[in-house]
Amino acid sequence: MRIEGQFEFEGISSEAVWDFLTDANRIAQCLPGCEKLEKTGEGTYEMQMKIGVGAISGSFSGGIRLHNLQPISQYEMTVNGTGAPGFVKGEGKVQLSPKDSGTLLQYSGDVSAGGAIASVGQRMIGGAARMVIDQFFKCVAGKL
Amino acid sequence: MIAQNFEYTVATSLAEAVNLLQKHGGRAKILAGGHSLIPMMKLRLATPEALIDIGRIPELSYVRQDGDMVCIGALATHHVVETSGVVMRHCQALADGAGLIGDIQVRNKGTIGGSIAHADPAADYPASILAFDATIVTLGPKGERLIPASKFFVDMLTTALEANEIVREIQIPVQSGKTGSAYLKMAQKASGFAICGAAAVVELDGSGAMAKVAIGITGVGNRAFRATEAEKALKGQKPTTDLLKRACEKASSGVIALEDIHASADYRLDLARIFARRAVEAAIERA
Amino acid sequence: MPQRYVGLAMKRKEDPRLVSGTSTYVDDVVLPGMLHMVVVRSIHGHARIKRIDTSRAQKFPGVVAVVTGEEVAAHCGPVPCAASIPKMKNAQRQLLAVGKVRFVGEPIAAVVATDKYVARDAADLIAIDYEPLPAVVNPEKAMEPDSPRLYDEFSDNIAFNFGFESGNTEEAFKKADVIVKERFVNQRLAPLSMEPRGVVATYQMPDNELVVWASTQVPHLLRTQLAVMLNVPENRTRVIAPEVGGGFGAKIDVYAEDGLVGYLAKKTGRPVKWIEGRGENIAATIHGRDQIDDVELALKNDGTILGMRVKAIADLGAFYSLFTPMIPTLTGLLAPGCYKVPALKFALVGVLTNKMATDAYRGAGRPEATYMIERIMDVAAQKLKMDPAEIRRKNFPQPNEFPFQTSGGVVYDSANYEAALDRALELADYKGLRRKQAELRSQGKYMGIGLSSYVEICAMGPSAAMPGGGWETGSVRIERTGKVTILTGASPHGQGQETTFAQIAADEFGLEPDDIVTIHGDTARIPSGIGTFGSRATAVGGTAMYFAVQDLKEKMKKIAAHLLETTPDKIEFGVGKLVVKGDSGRSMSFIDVVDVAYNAVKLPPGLEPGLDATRFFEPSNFTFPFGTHVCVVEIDAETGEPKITKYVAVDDCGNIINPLLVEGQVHGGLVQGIAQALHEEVVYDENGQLLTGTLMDYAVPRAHDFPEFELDRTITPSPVNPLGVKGVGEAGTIGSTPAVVNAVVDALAPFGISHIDMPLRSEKIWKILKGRKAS
Repeated sequence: MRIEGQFEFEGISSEAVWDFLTDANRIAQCLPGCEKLEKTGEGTYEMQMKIGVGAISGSFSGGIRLHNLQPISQYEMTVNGTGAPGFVKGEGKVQLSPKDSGTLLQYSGDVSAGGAIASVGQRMIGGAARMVIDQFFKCVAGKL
Repeated sequence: MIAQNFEYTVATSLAEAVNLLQKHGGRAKILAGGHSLIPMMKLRLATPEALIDIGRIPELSYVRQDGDMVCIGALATHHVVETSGVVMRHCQALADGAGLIGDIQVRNKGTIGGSIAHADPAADYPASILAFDATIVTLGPKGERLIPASKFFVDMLTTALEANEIVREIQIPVQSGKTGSAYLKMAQKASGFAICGAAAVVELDGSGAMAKVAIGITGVGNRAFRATEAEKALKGQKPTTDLLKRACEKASSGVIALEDIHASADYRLDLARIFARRAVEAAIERA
Repeated sequence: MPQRYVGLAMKRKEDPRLVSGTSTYVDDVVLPGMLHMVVVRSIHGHARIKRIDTSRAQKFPGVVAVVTGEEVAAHCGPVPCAASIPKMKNAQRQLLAVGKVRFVGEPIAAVVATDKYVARDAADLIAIDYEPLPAVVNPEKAMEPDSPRLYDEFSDNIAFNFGFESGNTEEAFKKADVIVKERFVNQRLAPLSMEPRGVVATYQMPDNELVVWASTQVPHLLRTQLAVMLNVPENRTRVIAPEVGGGFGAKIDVYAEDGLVGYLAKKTGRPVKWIEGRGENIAATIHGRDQIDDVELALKNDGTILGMRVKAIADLGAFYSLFTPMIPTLTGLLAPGCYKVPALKFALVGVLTNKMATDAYRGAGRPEATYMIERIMDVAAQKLKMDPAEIRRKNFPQPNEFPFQTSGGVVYDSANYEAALDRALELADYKGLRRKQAELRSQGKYMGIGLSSYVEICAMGPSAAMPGGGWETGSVRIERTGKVTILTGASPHGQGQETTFAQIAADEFGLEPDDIVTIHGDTARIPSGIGTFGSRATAVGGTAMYFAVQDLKEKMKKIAAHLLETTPDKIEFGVGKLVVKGDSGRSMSFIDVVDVAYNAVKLPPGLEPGLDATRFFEPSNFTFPFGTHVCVVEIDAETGEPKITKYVAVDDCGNIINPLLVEGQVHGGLVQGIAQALHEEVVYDENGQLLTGTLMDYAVPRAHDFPEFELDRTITPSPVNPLGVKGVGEAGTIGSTPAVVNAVVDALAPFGISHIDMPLRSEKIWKILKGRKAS
């Protein structure tokens, strides 16, 4: 499923946003339900998350990979997680551009799922992904 | 279709249920009618360590008029809401919505409190709850709290309920004057949930103009919302076919719509415009 | 003797036990020491299995055994396929995946434990390491040479090619005044019986004896297949089909779980039960349809059909189930529908994709044929500006032309298509509807009228056309008390043969239906049989039973003639007695004749004692029921939502044993056929993930989706069997789907629309309403 959206970091410079979003420890602080995020190589991280959307929740283990980094303007990200309810996978591009005195972040990508998550949750996957992404960026803005 | 092991406790009062929730520290769920929670548990998408059954607390299933307020207990079933004389008299849209939920078996078990606490993006009630400016009364460790409907539905499956808080009652102000309300929906063919549902509450003044218009829309976005721009365009105006059509074109402005195998985002946005207008027309008809 | 019960709308003998909940289904079978099986299934559409770690599950308290692919493949045969097409690739699969998984829901491991909760928890402890592979879900893409391949050992995903030409299509298309063409897609459907599948097996080591309770339509076929699969002697294998809560074709198949339960009963020495969950039912019970048909029709300006060309693509899914490759070939047999199509070219390609296998689902190959011919007839009528009723009428063979050899290669037994069409038009007030339509159109309202004149293939069938045989057996035994026991090889699961067979036998013997009991679904009690599918239980099974009844009547006549001192040809059956023709004073009661047969003292010389007969009936042909349906829809001009406001069905299924049951079958069939047109669809995403995995997303039709059906019938007896019956199990499904789509397309005619693909979701219609101006 294709998802795209944007988030405005008011009064925060692109450098600050970039630094945050490419720092594993700081990402972990804002990733909802993140229980572990470890750097395993250049731009690759292993993680454990407990993702919950309302009553629905599951523990996932997987990884994040940041690639094609073009400092402070854009990077690509691959996220995958596997757990008892199935697996989720996301691939997308994040672009930063200055806007007024702050930063406009635009993201676009594909979210796919497998197992029970896909066969039961098709109607909510897009919305849930947007919700988690939004929570994440709000948290980032808060920390900055 | 077999749930994970869980503890099961029957609470005899809401206060006890709140205590039990605290004891389990966020790993317990409240069981009311069970029509959303149990299927998710059987699919192992929800794996609470304990269920606290409030279904047997007798004094929570009621509908009554208390002064200028219609008060609905959290455990009132959809069938109770659908057939309540008080609801039909003062908040017909809510009864319309209750009657369109699932089938008769579901309506006999499912509860209004459970439904709104679950906050399914396609549930029927939230449209009316928003349009009536209802208040959600909750009970938590710190006591009772009144949450306005506009603050209650936060996001997909997410409400303003704190951890360890339980819905106790829904309060709907008795509408004054020449008021009518209606809820209409297009049901998704498999689940019966709303692809789009719209509730409208309209008060007409002596001249026949719309003194008050409220439109709630569900099924379209991550959460139900008020069609504020459409409301503004209608308020104070005399209803004409042309005005209703033009005003309701704005019913889904700025909304990021859900998209799934049953309906695209564009279709949902257009249905919001169509159903908003039809709901307003039906509400005027009833005023 | 006059018919007293045949033709009567009797309530079903089966219903009291069904509506009172006292009936026994597989899940009601509980045996001492019984274990429960849970199956671990693939969450990928296509993946290599790198490693399976069952150690944690093995150690879980209460777990008795955990098995995976290699072990089971070493002891059990693969999932069987009985159908064969020349040069087809052999896409068989093992009971549990070995090396690779090819569809979401494919069984990978099985756990048996002391209860199902333990088994389910242990299943979560099995760790499977997958290497996901690109999936192919679109059959046309799967056919491309560079498409990912499902089977490493095959050169491509094309399972087979099949085709024929009768008459000269090239010439027909050259001579044509008009050629119309369209692509029709039959979406993938889930059969979705109310009772999912279920199996219980118990195995006795000393005798090598296997007893299986299964929710099946074909107990005898299942017995043979299980005996071979599990290497148990067939005469030591017993299959019992207790009450079966619907099948719709999906319970003809022999499934991996059937074999697994048997194998695990053997392995553990304890009874094992498996009951399918609804999610498993949607993912791993066979699907139906999934066929693309590119159809061209050549006509003269006056609407006369000259020829037809069909290029069909059947999406078979990931492997062959019992009849998978055969089902789409039936589409070719029925391609001409109820019309004279002098030249026909049919080319079918079967394709393997990363989805569950398709197989027989109510109608099985014939709905696809009916849909394409009935749709293309409307497309032709639109192009020629003819009334849809008139173009149909123009091309019907006349009643005196039957038996009618078609270009599809079959011989239609008997019909009067025009009579059914006329009756349907009259009942619907077709002329009035057209007037109303014109009126509404002028007001900007869109109402559509859809016709479907169908013929279908029933009473399956001659053995030459049926893998495994097309005969059926009937045994009739008159007990010493005069009660009659019928044993049928058919295995009814909702069709009501306990009632209709009693009606037939009661009239033949001059008894009451209550005196007659029909036993089915147990290979230890029924000597031989095929089963119930393809609308065959009465037309084939009933005929076998009828012949056995005739054998006993002849024998009873001999006994009565001997004692009444006349010849058997002078004896006839009256109510409760055997009478000398033309001399009603000379008679013997039925029970007295039975007495003589069993006491065996006063029997005519040379006649064996007892009253027990078994017959095999091999039909000489299929039967071909037909009819015309009329559907009226109204379209919400804003949302596009279609609503059926009227539905008329005139069906001809030959002679009728019980009109109540015929109507019940038609109602159920209509609902399933209309639901295909409007709602139902199994959806996989491009990775082979099943998106309609629950009833929250797979739309089961509900009563409030339908208007009251207006039914009537014509009666054209079949010459193929002495009962003159044709079968009615699938007619409603086959006839209705195109009627609905024709109605919606007709409603949208002002928008210049010639076709919309199923299911007719409101959004598809909304797009048309939004995108174009009405003329």
